[in-house]
Amino acid sequence: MHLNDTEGREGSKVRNWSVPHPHPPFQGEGTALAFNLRLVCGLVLWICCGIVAAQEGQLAPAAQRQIDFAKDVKPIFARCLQCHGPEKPKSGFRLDSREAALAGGENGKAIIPGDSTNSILIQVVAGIHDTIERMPPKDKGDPLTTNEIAILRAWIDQGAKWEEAGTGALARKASAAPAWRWIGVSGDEQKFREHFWMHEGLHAGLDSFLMEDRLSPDARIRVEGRYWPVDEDLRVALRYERTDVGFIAAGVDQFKKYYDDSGGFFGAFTPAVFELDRELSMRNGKAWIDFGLTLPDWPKVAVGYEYQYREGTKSTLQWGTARTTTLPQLPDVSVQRNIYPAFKDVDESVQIVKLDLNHEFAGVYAEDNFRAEFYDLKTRRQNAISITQGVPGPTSSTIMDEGHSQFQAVNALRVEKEIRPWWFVSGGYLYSKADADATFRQSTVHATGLPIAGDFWRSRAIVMEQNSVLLNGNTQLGPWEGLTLNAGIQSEYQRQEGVGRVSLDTGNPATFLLLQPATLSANFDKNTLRESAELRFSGIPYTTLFTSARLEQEALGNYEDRVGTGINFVRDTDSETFGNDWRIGLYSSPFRTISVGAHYRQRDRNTEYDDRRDTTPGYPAFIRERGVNSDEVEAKLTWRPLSWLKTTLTYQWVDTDFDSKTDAITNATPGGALRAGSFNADVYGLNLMLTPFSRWYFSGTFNYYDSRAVSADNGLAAIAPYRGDIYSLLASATYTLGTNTDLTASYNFSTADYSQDNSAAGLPLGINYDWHTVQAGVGRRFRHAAVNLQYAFYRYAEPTSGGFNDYTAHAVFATMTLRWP
Amino acid sequence: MEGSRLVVCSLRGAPAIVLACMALAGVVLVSCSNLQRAVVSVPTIEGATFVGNASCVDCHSNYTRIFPSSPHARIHVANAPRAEATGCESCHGPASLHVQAGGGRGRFIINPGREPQACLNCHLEVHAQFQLPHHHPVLEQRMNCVQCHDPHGADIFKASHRTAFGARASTGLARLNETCAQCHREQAKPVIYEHEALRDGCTVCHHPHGSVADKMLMQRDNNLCLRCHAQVHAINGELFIGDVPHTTFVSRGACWSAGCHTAIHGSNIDRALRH
Repeated sequence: MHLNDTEGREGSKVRNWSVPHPHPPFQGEGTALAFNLRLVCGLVLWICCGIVAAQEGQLAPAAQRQIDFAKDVKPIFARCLQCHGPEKPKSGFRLDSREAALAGGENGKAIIPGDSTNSILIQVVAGIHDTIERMPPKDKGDPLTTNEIAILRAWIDQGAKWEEAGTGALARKASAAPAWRWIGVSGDEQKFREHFWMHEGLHAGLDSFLMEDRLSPDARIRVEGRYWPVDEDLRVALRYERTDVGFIAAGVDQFKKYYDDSGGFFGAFTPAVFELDRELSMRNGKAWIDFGLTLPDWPKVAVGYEYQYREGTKSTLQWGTARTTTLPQLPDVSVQRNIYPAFKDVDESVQIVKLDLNHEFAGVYAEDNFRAEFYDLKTRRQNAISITQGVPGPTSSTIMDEGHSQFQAVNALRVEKEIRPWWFVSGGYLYSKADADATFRQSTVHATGLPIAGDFWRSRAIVMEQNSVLLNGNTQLGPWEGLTLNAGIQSEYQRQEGVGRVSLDTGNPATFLLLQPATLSANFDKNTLRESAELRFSGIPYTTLFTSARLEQEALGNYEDRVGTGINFVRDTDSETFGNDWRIGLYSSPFRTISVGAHYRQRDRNTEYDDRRDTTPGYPAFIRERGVNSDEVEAKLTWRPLSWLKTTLTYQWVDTDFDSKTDAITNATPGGALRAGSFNADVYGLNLMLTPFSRWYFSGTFNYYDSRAVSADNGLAAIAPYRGDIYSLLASATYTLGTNTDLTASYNFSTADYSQDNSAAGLPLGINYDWHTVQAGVGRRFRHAAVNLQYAFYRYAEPTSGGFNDYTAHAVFATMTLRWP
Repeated sequence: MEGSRLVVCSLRGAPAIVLACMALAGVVLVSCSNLQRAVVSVPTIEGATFVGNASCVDCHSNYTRIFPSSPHARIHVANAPRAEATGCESCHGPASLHVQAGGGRGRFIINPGREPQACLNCHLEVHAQFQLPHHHPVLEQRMNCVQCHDPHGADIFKASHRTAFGARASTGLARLNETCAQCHREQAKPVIYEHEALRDGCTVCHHPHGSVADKMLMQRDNNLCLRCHAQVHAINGELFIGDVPHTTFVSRGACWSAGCHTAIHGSNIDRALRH
């Protein structure tokens, strides 16, 4: 027998039991033997009996009563399960089921039913084993008491029966929560759906369901999910796992997003708002299956397949043209405002093949993840370009059909090692390669669907290739005298090439079409280096001081050209970007009642462009330099003056400047440097959580957000500063009526005012709204069921949409949760 | 309605008063209490008690050994008076029952990936953003925080794709836009003519948690574009962007309106992103 120090599977040192078999009790044959043989046997018998007697002498006697496993033994084993549970058991020995316990660990059987004296379990917990240290180890808890050992001995001597008495955390269980809801909306129903991800009306669904079963001591299966047919909201997740063997995980997860079908608002028009009169929604989902092998001491392997998809129609912000000549304030001018709603049909899918490996060997943990993705996208976007007053629908539109097919392979490798207890290193390598084909077709059509004069652009072939190589290294040092340092560096090289043969034709296909074939190409090479470091000092009691830096340097060479009929160009631009992100702050929790944290952050990112060649200067390569500089302060105070009250105060201040330097444009602008824009915000937050009375629980969060964004051209009447504030309040209260009954109520309120007054010269795009949600309900628990009934009231008012997006809604939700057992 | 507008108007003028009133209300409630109290702070699990970080290391060293690099480690104060609020259990809840059960996926332990409230207890401003009209559906349980964030690693954004084993993968620092591209492939796909704003990242234009503006834009109007695309004013008052006069265009609406720069995430046809 010997004591082994081996690396645990998660890298921590564990002490293994290494006794292959316990001593079998001596059993004499009882037959006539030669005297010397009897003498030898007698001596052996005497010695063995002596050993047993000696061990007996060291052990506490077994308890002289009938042992109840659930009542007497299980609480003792609960102390052992931290290391000897089903998840990563030390030395492979488990104490969570009879089968597993009797099977023993990597070093043999530890429990011999009927023989506690020779059961290693008893010897080890009593601390009398020759080579194995007492369990639990000193750093894991106090030794078992004499009484506890006596109980364990009696339990083993009585046959090591394992009667869980129905406590069974691992027993079979199931639940299902059928639910019903009724929602009535007056006003803009589509806005309600967009806000709450629910369709109005009377509907039934399954809020949740769960089935969990332990098929054997090592095998477990779990199925869970939800299903609301009306919202095509479906989740089913299945996981079957066998300890130290592997797992199968599979499922489907889908939800639907709704979109409002109205566009912008311009009060001077009649109508002031247009709508598409159709339901816009998108199904987002995925289905997957993974197979994993988790054999002890072998590399863990998982292979899988995943299918992700998005299908449907969504609203877009590419609002189309509405025009009138009848504005009283501008009687002689044709006024155009782009407010007609736009939409896009999307059919997107990606098939992903996955291979994951990880293993730990000699203290080095390595993990590799491979993905092969087959991506396919088809979209159709329709934008109105003219409407006729009084006639529904656009008079003319442009239709863009785009396609994109792509194969991408990505492999990522990471290794980690704890070189010393105070020194940890890791590194990574990633390679990615993508090949893509794209298609494009644009048509200009009348409301009847027939082509009219306009753009008819189409692609003949568009191909792209993208390659990325990434290297990463990280280290953690410390703690040393309260100091901890972590740092990382990451280098990425990316190259992309794209070529397209297109024809940007204009005219009317029915009469004359001006053909403009052209070849487009663009490529870039990008080298990015990022460094990250943080120094932390925790030498002051209950306090952490930290400073961190994230730096980035990027060099990019960009080439673009167009050759063919029409306006050709060549652009060859090199750019360099430097980004810095510094932070310094502290966190302290000096008392049980108070913790504080605060930091200051300074960020800047500056890019310089060198247009080595630009045959048609002016657009878009007119920016010479661009810079973003931001300062930020964030502070948080958490105060718990009483055990039942916690308050949190937060404050955030952000101030960002955007600077630009542009070319001079002949007869237009002198060019040069300017402050292109600025943004600043103050954010206040207050949270209260309290239980002032025995049956009450309150929680409230209040936030105030005040921001202002302006750009250099706010002198233009058409563009107003974007400034305003947002108030939000989230309050909830729970009252426990009895052991099995809860009353709940909540109130959410949000209001924002970013309204703009620039309608005379432009289109006001700011928003102003009030939003209230009130909910009240009762929940009642029964032995195998729970019932929850909720009423909700919703009110949304948006003056900046002329009230067109307003709604009021009432809802009733009923859920019955059934549980087995 | 008018009443609520009045309240709102008064609120807008005095955030400090509102904060003070709420604090006062809390104090009043405190002073009126005289019954049994319960602790309200970090996540709770019925019947479970705190066991400390040392108990987590045995099984979860793949997380605990990289955790010192995490920004979340800043709030882990050794031997703090309220250790339960600064360690693993401050997010995952008290772990005694989980340990007694021998561990197990989701057994007597909170998985903030499924229950965002564990994150929102501290990130109050994010909770408020999820309540804005346009937001990622985290509170609706269609998404979760760890789809985008790695709470244990050096980078608060996920460094790479999630693996079947459930651990974080790949390298230590996130790649630009990769977190968003997991779902928004259409916007992140390669194109012939890119919009350079994507080099700075999706969050230059979008609030990732929630916004009052559709598509979670930071601003709903042309200020969003002009902060990068502005240039010195022309003498005649005309707004030029490049060599193209834009005064008339910007009066009609947003830069991304139909007929203008609609291919805002990049184009395979036009370098001005118009089609």
